[in-house]
Amino acid sequence: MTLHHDKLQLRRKNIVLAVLVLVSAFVLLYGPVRGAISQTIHTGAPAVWRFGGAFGDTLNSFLGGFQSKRSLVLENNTLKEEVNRMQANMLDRNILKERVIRLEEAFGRMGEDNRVVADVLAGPGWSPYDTLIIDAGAENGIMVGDRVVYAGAGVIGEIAELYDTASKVKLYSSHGEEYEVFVGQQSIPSVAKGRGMGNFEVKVPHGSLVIVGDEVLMPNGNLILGIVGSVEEDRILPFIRVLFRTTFNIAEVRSVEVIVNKR
Amino acid sequence: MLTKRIIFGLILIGTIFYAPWWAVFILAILGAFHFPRYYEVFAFGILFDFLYGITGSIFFGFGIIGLIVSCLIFFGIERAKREIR
Repeated sequence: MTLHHDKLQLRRKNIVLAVLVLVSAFVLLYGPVRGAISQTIHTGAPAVWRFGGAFGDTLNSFLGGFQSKRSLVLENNTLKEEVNRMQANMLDRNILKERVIRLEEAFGRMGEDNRVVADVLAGPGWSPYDTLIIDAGAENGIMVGDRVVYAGAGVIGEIAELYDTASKVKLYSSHGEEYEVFVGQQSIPSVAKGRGMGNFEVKVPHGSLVIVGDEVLMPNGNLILGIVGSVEEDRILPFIRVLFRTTFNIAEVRSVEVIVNKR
Repeated sequence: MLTKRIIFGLILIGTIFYAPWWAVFILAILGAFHFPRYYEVFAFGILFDFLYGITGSIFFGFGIIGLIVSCLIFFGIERAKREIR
């Protein structure tokens, strides 16, 4: 009798659970509801991330006094990030600036884009979604679809979801994402596929001149997406497989710039 | 047991905010294994999707990886526990 009662109770619990899972799936899949709940969560979440960051910094500086080795490692990490940033700057600044100025002069309009600097609250290593959470949102004039760049011109993604004081950035390198790009010095037009964590793959026609170290640019804005790291050529195949990645380690990005579109 | 469960839940929430996804995954499995019928894992999965998820992304673009994984953990571990007993 008791066994039968227990089984009945368990079955009831499972039915309630199944209903809850279905309701949760509906909430997550139905855009307006998901958006409203996300908005609420992301109103408070940035404060939690900031608190964690501040706590971590305080703890690190406190322990740094006792552990010189640890503080050296942290300093080394900071310097590495700075080197990454400078490398990204160096690679594109000189060439692109000249090119942009020439083009703008030719078209008779000197352009300046409006940029918002934002800190990264949570990076792509935190989730398998390949997203960044940044601390700038609608209040800063950002809109969904605005491009996000690192170190001035290395483009990394675009705003996917927008909240009042925070936004989610979908990285161009997200799995399955496809974008038009120009590869190498010959600016070969092609489609880049995201492979996660700042890695991409692109196929160019056989005979195209692409070498390791070539730049891959996004159309509209001459923004660098990455640098060719490997070129795989097979004579049987009609194309060359080019693997490229961002010029910096995406996991180490601490601040970005959002290019606010003029509307 | 309830106090332990609440403290573990708070640790798991902290992990969602401050640690990589694989740490959340391991802790969720430990929680589902240690506590009887660990329903909280669904709430954590949903929170994970709201915090980091975007639609039009990986896994057919539904943005419900957290919910799917929490279902797999819950039912998988419950089954494993039944088999072990």
